[in-house]
Amino acid sequence: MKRVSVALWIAAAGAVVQIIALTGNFYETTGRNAEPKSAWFGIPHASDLILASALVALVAAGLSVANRQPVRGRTLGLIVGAVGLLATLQLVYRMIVPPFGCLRFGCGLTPKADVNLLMAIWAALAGCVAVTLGGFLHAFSATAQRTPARPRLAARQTGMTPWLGLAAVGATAMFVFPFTLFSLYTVAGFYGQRGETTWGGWLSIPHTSSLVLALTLAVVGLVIAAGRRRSPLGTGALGATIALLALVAAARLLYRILDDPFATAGGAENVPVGTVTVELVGYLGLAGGLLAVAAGIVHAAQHRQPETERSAAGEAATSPTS
Amino acid sequence: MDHSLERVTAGRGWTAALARGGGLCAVPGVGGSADGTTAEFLPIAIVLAAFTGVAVWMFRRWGGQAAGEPATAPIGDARPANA
Repeated sequence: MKRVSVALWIAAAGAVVQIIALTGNFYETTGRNAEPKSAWFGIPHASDLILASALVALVAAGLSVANRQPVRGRTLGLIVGAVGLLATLQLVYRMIVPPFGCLRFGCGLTPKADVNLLMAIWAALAGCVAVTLGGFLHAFSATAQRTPARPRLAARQTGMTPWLGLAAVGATAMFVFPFTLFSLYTVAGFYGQRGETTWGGWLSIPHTSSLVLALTLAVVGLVIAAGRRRSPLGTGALGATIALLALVAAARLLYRILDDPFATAGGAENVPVGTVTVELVGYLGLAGGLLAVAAGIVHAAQHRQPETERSAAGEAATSPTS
Repeated sequence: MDHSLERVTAGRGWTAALARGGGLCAVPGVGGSADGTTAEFLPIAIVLAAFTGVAVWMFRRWGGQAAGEPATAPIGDARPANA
């Protein structure tokens, strides 16, 4: 049965355009020190969102081709279209209001130069529009409407366990503490300023914050799926996967604790930055990540016992004579 | 085209409003800096207590089940991966 409409292929093609566009330069500063500025370091959160949109579209198309779509065809199209729309809106915002020529972290909030939009940012916009339209058109196509969900489900499910819950709590903490309300860094002498300035993690380490957010959502999603007995992974593999995802996030946080991003925060080589202090929330976020790692490992270890032993234990527990 | 911060934010149009919104996004974190006062650490303590409370509740809710034992009835709708 045909599961991939022409619209979904358009979305997949748009995703490829998005990824290619991200390798190019989005802006060019004008004036005496004119230089091109890349997407990745120029508008990091917008670039992360474009990348996420591309991955969602490609994964959706791939799963549909493999007849492993986790949700109905219509829902899949809506998800692709919605994420693509978010990326489109963010990119349009950054085309209307560029980051004022201050395209690398550390040049402060002062305007540095005017900018021109380059070809790659227009290509990225075309890719975003293709993904958005392709996703929504697929959602309302006849092909999507007759495509049922066919998720991959593990044969053996544990349901919710306290260790899985602990992993979800730890993963949530590793994002909430460093990247939401609290100050992550206190910097003395930022951009030649007197006194101290405080920085949240969301802006000061944008790619790390995006990565940790994605990993947090992945861990919480796996735990919710397991709690509903819809886990795609077997019991041991589930715990191991959660531990691995949390370990990547914890390692990235540790890297940003040991190596803060303010090396060039003076704004120029002759304006040195002063002392950089990592606040308590950085360590709490790291602790949350390590907690999720430990919880995933314990969950995996608890479910490594042989099948025969587990079956016997289950029969003993459910037997009316026991 | 002049996109300088002062010029854009000084205007009254919708691009000026967007620019001011972007500027607000750049405001650093609001709490948790280490000057040692109770008020600075109170938000962190509240969030930490909330996480701890949720963790304790989960162990009370699901902690009584033996490892490997299904939480409720065996599943009926799970399919093997190659189904």
